[in-house]
Amino acid sequence: MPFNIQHSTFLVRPELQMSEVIIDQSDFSEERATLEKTWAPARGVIGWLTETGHKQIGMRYIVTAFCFFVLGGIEAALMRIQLAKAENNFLNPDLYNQIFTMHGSTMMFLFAVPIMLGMGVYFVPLMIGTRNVAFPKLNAYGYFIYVAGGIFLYVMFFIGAGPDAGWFSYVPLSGPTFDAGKRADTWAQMITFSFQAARAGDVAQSHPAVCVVDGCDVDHGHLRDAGGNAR
Amino acid sequence: MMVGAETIQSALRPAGPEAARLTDLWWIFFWTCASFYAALMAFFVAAWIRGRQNVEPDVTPATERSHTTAVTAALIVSAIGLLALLVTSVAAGRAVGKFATNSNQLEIEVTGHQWWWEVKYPNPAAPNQQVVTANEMHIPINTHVLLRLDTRDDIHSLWIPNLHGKRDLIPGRVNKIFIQADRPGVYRGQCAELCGLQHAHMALVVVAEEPEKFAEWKKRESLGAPTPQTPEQVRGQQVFLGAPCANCHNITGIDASATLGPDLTHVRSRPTLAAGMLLNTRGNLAGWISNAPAIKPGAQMPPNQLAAGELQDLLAYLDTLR
Repeated sequence: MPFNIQHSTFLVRPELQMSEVIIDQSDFSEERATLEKTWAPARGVIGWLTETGHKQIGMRYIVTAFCFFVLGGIEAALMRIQLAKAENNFLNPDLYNQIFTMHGSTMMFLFAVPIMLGMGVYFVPLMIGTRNVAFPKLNAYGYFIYVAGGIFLYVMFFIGAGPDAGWFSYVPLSGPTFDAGKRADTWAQMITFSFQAARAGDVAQSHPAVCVVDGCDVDHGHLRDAGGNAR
Repeated sequence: MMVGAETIQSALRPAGPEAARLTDLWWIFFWTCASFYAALMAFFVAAWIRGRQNVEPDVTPATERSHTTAVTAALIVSAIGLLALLVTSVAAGRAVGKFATNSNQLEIEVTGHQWWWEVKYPNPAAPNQQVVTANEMHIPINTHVLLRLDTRDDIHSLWIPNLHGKRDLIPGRVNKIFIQADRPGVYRGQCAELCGLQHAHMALVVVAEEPEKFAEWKKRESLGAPTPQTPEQVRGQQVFLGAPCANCHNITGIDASATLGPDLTHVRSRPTLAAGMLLNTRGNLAGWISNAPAIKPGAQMPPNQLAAGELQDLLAYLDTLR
């Protein structure tokens, strides 16, 4: 659609001559309406699932991470109750090892990392002045696989297959020789989901920041530098 | 708890030079950090009170300069504090390392198993007289003891807080650590690396005693098992050799030389059973033999279906192994 653009020349100071582009604002109303419609969040469950706004996704990361923080805190409390006195039988050894591992894994991979990610997703676009992260759908995808990883871990825990070899799955304790069954696999699967979410979030939010620093442009999800070369 | 009031596991009650150095370091860190924390909280409370008084911010250049000076001073004090802790820590590490060069050494091999400790006193001159025990270690006081640490399965970590810091036992390699006790006592050690289901029940006791008493103990332990005297004891020995016991345990002097489980040549002289879980009483031993997994789930010792008479005979025989 052609815009009504006029060029004019004016003097800021006598020794400087600058040009400015004068745009008739009224001519943008149609484009603005189209864009607002495009960017408007969808409603209902489908809208919630397809939401890609960085503030919404960032807030979801933060809220979800705090939920896992509470679960990790409950696990810590259970461990402290067990350790409150010698020869306590509040938790049996197997359950204690599972809770010990769940606590560490939750705090590190389902709270500490995601909450930092959520902060970044929420604040980085605001800080650098972009409407959204470079890859909004990738960002939303990252959040959902993070949630899926956390739910998977806790479902496995509640059916008695929670990991029990420490928060970073101590080797060789987590190997088949000493940890038969699927418990180490449960932990590894959760980590795969969690780290995939982290990578997706990192890529989604870091590229606009790179662009601001590096002078490139985001073009339909592809990064191009000032000369138009794909990055 | 297991072997009397003397058995205390505490890094803050050092019984040897290495532990004493580490305890000093701990207190230096504690008081330095506590002082900084107290100062920080005092400034925080002062700022909070000042904020509640709604004092108008003083933004004159002179005040700004004084603030800058205060921040710079705090930065310098913090840096000096951290540097001092670093220097103290490195110095402590070097000092502990120097203990390793002392002579007057006794060498002991400690092997970690899921979930018990095997302790050997090698005797190159007479290999058949080497002392092998489990979950207990005797050392003479005022003697530098070299521990060679190895593991048969998973990673473990030996920690006897009254005598030294932690040292890992890594599959496929031998780590070393030196300990020394300055006074007689019984000190509790513990595995300090998550090693599976019964990690919490993997303790050992270190008995530090006068050199003469240690020599007596070692001489006694180097002897084979005594010959059973009574018919009950003889039958008990036959039970031991006929039941699965001999498939896993060694008793020097009879036809039982397996090494999967602890050496039982002097099992009844030890203060505890099951790596510190049970006092070494006849009743506890009977329970352990009958159904060890019920007491220590995951333990490799299987339940044994022995008739009551067989069990009593076996206990009578094991009672002689002191």
